[in-house]
Amino acid sequence: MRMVDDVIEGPTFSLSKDWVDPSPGIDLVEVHYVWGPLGEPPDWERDQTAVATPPGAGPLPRRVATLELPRFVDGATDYLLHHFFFVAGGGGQTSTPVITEQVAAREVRYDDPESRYTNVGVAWTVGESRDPNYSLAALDGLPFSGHDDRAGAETFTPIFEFVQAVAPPHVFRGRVWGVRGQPVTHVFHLVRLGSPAGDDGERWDDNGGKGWRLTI
Amino acid sequence: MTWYLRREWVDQEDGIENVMLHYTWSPPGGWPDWERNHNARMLVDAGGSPRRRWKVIRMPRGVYDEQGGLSLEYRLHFFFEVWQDGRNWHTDLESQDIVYRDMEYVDNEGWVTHLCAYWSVYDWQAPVYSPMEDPRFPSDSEFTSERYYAYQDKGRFSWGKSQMLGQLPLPHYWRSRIWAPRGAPVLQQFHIGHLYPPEETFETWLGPDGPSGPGGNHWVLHL
Repeated sequence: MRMVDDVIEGPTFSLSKDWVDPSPGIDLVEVHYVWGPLGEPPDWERDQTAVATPPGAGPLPRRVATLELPRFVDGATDYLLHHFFFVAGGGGQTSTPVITEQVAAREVRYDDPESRYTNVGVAWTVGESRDPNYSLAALDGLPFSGHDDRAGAETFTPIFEFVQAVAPPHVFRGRVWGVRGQPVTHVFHLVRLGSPAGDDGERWDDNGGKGWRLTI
Repeated sequence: MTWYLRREWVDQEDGIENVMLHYTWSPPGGWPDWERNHNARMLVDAGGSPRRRWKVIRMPRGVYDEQGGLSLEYRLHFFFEVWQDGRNWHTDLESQDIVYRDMEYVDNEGWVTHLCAYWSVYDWQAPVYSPMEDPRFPSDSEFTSERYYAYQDKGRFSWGKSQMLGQLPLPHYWRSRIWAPRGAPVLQQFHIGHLYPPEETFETWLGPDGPSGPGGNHWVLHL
């Protein structure tokens, strides 16, 4: 089954864009965005939109729009994101200049010297966003143990015996996406599934609640 | 233009650490094919007691069936994966028919120069502006409604749009399309603009009780 051209086939991630009203009376703020391969200009005939709304019950003037973006464009993790804000109210309508940013992925690594975990996930947010993303990490030597490839399933599979067959030390590698030069905060989701000893479990390794921060 | 749908989860028990939303689409009457299209998104933890979690997902304007034909209506299939007390479990699969309605605003006087359907499913937390157009308006014009936003010289655009609309016999039939799960409430207003000439500039959000602000008085539709 194919989707119409406005739907991303494959996994996506959330990226927030913040807006602060420069003056009272603004009624509408909308982000228009489009992505494409590196080196190509934006094609605004294919643009997507997201209305910027106040976060939670917070008052204006702060608004947030959440963009849903592909993790891969033409098979590449690096691509260009172009966006501008359309603003209406206060007696006029205007569009801000276009901002072009490079989306990219970074590898993150979890070491499991005790070979305790069968599956490792990575939860991550871009910038100051509260909207989390999730990707599966793959165990070195067992590439099908996790994937953030274009299938996008992002589900755990019962692979206890396969994991145990991998020689230690166990190293899991996943990817996080964000905007080049901007921070990403991530935590690890550690899962033990399918243990014949009945000691399955999961926990979050979150650096004491702070998460780990890296720059894309 | 895409549209958005908010999915929400409310914790019914203690010990829930994380909830994922899994979803896909199929042609009408179809079953999910998770091997071919599987989206998985981690919900936003909004806190509260009971704890609420949500995600806004992008939705397509249609799907292609196995014969390659475009279907403007389709099915959304989804379930939640819950991590609780060190184990994970899944809710039952749910499927919703996604249906559309063609919206129309009739402008008898030719006063309107810009018009959008402003709408959102369930509540105003996933709103969409859908530009409207008279189907007689030439789609290759630089002044189509969808081209307005990226057009830097808004004054020139409004002048050009007004001139071209003036060539169309009255009334003007502004049209657009909206989607929603069958039976779900859709909140809707018209964002109406009269942006030419500049000294007459006026815009408002129109509901059944007249002009208001965005999210003010609105229609509630069920598709």
